[in-house]
Amino acid sequence: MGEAMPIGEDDLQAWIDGRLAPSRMQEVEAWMAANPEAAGRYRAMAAELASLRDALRSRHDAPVPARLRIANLQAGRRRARSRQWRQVAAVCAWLALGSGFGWVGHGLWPMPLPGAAPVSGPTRPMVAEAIAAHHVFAADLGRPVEVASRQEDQLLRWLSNRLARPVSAPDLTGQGYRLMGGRLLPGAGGTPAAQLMYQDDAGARLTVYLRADRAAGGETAFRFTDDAAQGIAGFWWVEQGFGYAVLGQGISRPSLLGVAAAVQRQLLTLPSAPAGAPGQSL
Amino acid sequence: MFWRSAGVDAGQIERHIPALRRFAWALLRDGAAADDLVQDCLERALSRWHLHRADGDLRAWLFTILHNLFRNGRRSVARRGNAVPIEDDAGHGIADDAAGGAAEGHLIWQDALAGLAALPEEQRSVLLLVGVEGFSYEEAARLLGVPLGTVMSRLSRGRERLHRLIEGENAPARPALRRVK
Repeated sequence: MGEAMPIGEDDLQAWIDGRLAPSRMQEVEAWMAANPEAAGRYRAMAAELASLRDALRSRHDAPVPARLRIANLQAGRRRARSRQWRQVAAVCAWLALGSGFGWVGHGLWPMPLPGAAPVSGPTRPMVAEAIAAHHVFAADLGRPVEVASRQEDQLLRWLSNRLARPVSAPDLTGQGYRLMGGRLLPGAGGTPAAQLMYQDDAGARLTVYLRADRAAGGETAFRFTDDAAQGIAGFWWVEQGFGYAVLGQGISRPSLLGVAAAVQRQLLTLPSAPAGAPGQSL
Repeated sequence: MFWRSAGVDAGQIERHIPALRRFAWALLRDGAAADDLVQDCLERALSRWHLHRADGDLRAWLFTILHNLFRNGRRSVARRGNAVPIEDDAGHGIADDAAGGAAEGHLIWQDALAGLAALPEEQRSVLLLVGVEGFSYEEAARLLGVPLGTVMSRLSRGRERLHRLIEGENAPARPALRRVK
């Protein structure tokens, strides 16, 4: 057939997508010149496609939340497996020993903590702030967080900008806690501080508080703090110029320790996103 | 049971996560639900890594898993628990407006997104896979498990509909061109 194929809808779609074979380009352009009204429509559709791409670009460029990192997902799989085995082992032991020895608790085995043994010790202003913030917000039924986890991207971008460091939300699902959201708070001397709040299936809440802390005392190992007046307890530590506190109310010390260890591990393995401007690309 | 996701190259998968999140968000229009969907997709990919052909297209495989999960409605939206919902997505205009720049451009984006949301799911998926994610027509057909002709007609109808949604209902309906291929 020496004659050119007529221009069809597929050609025009390929033109919009820039996927037209070069040999066909000339014919399509000639057709468009001869059909200006239809050509205008296809040009508009190409422009709409471009604005759709633009509109979705920020979704692509947003920092990936910690729970989607492969290392964390793999760790979650390992934890789920080891939980299964602990339960199986516990039941086997129980069956073997009989009821005389009682229940061999699963989930009560404390997680090993890398580094020094946690001790109680002198506290810092950062810890007092964290306790006060926990006291005020964790008890709030109506609006415990300012930005909820459904907007985790925005929350973390916001906190990262204000704290001038990448802030990720540690994935604590392995410890039974889900992220609820968080807020920005004023630390001592106007230092911006971040509070992330988590909740377990029973409604128990814990908070992770962090802010820059360059006060004397430098790096510390995990320390236990127990505010008897408020009934709030937890672990805190200072690392690379930032102070961290993991606090809860009525949560057992081994559980708190497990959470604190998970928080410390995950915040240390942060991707090195450019601090200060993680959300600028659009 | 396959317990060890042996030989998983985390970096190789993670390269595709931003695009998977964008696709999931465009399908669901909800950041938390989209990340749930991506998480389900990644977990499934890890648990079925042994089924993935080393010479296959990892990106297409991941998108196929995600789209199937989406279509089967197996996404566990409930997983996030009862977080306190707040204003709509544009509410906390934190940092992402910084680059928004031209207000007019932003308006058109909103139109394009709103129009996309108004399309039937079948057309939306094709528009996104081809137009935004850059899959070829053939790849999109394989990914969606439909014939190539179906992809082309969904693409054509979806774009026409989006155009009329954006231009307003009085935009002239067009005389459809015959598909000649």
